[in-house]
Amino acid sequence: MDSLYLPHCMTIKEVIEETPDVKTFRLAFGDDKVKEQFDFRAGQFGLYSVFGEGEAPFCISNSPTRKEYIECSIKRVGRVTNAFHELNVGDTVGFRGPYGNSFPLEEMHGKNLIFAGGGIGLAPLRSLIWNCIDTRKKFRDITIVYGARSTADLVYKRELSEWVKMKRLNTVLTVDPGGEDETWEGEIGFVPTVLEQVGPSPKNAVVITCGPPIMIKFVLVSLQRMGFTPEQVITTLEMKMKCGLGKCGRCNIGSAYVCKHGPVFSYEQLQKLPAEY
Amino acid sequence: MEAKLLQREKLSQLVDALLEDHEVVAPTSDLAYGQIRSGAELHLSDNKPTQSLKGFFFPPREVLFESRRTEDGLELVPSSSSDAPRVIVAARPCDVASLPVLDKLFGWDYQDSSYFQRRQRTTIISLACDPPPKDCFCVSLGGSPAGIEGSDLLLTPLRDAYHVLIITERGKALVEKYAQFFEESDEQHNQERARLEDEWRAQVTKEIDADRLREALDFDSGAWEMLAQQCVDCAICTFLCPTCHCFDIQDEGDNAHAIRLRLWDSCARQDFTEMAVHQPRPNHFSRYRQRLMHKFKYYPENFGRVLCVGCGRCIQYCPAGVDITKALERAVEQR
Repeated sequence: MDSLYLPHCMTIKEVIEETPDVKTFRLAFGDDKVKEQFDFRAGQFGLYSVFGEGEAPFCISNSPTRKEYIECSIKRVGRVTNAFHELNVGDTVGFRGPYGNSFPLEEMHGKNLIFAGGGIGLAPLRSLIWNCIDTRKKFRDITIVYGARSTADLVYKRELSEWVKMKRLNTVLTVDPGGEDETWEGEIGFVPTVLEQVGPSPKNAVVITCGPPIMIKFVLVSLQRMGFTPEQVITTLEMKMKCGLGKCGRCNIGSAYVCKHGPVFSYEQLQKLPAEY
Repeated sequence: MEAKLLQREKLSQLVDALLEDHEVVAPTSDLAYGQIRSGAELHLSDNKPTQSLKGFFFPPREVLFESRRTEDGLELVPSSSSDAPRVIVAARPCDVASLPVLDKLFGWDYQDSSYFQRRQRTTIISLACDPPPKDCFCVSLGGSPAGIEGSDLLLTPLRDAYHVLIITERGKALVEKYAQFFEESDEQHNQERARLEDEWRAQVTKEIDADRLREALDFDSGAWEMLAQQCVDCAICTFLCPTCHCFDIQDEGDNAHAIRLRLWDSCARQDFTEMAVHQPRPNHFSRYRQRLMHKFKYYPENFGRVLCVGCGRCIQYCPAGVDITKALERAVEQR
């Protein structure tokens, strides 16, 4: 039996500079058979590695409806992420996965979807957003509120302008006060405030949110004010992980392992767990 | 259960015979188990080895694979681990009982192949604890100084011979293959074994009430901060513990040639959960709480049993004198 820890070798096909410190890597399987068999659901993650530097968990940020490649968006913060940022097209990296649970897509059918994202937190939402766009008939209204500190810090800029133009999609972009430039046509203000201004109804709706902890904290306050209940709000968590398989022992919140029971949790589920995340 | 007798002096002869087609692991000093090359190296002592058996199934440093840059691109070479048959002789029953506990974790949805390969290739001959060391609390957790869980054969020292309890088919096969060393055991010997086990069990007076802990341990208890003050955060308990299994994965080398390693790690260490921008367990008491709650609440919730076999090493070797049985009692009393 092959080791669980042996990754697939992936070739970097494209590197997109999203922001001054975020790059998106488009990775192709070296082995066609593996590529054919590979499948995942929006919300799942993988362990990505630069050989000689180490391995770290990141979400799969492309949609399962577009699984020609694996895409991951990586912010430069530590040893492994720095090593990723030094890589170029043609270089080889490791990938193992997909791991973890996923967004409850089937439960979202027939509902209004509201995405609230901040900064690099758009990466896991992007997988689900494209998944929903590609199967648009299954959902009702889709609202996206996405913000970053400044215009330079918005990720997936090409796609954001695509989303803004799309018909059956209400995309509202915002930057923190002071983060705008002369050409900025979006909102100016924090994500929770803008979300309240947009004011989607809680009726038959699901909110999917991901972003910096401080943003999530205030998004939750806003949602409560708007009449949303904890079971209507879904998020995806980030934890230090080494195995991704429930064995290395570090990503648990109480008896829930983020790598296995998560990374996707509803706020109703999180309220039942110790506040240690 | 079927039983045999093995004369005391024949144990080292049996080891010599086993060595002809097995690797043999046994206590080699009071410090550790090790691979032995003759029956004479067998170190039988009243003291349980400082280090548990877990490293023989889950090594402290294990190469997972090697990455090499070649002319054709990058090549990954999985490391091969031996499948040579192995016998562990004179294992402590608590160390052996930890293996079925670890099986749950290493087999949780994903089978950890190197761990199970080592499990598969190993026959275990345990030796009952005569007398049980003073810090043990195995009995309260379902074990015994003469416990059989995880063992293929159990040796119990009687006055002049070892009583050999045949626990598994694998143990039976070993006894049959090396039949010349064994004698028949009679009812008197079997009764003596049972009497001795009762005697030793009664000597294990330290205890943990696992059922109560599972219910009563409280993440939000105010006791954790106070309890953690006694702990010096050295992590020695986690490394000596036969059931602690947390690990790290790291690379050594460079992009031309590297190895990926699995290394023992510990929840007591500050960097265990520390990320570049986030630390869910920032203080000492939160890590102390994690260790105890993992063992006696989270693990039972996921796997139906505690992550502890009552070997007592964490008590015996704690430089600050922390007694886990007392700490747990206080954790649930002072809520």
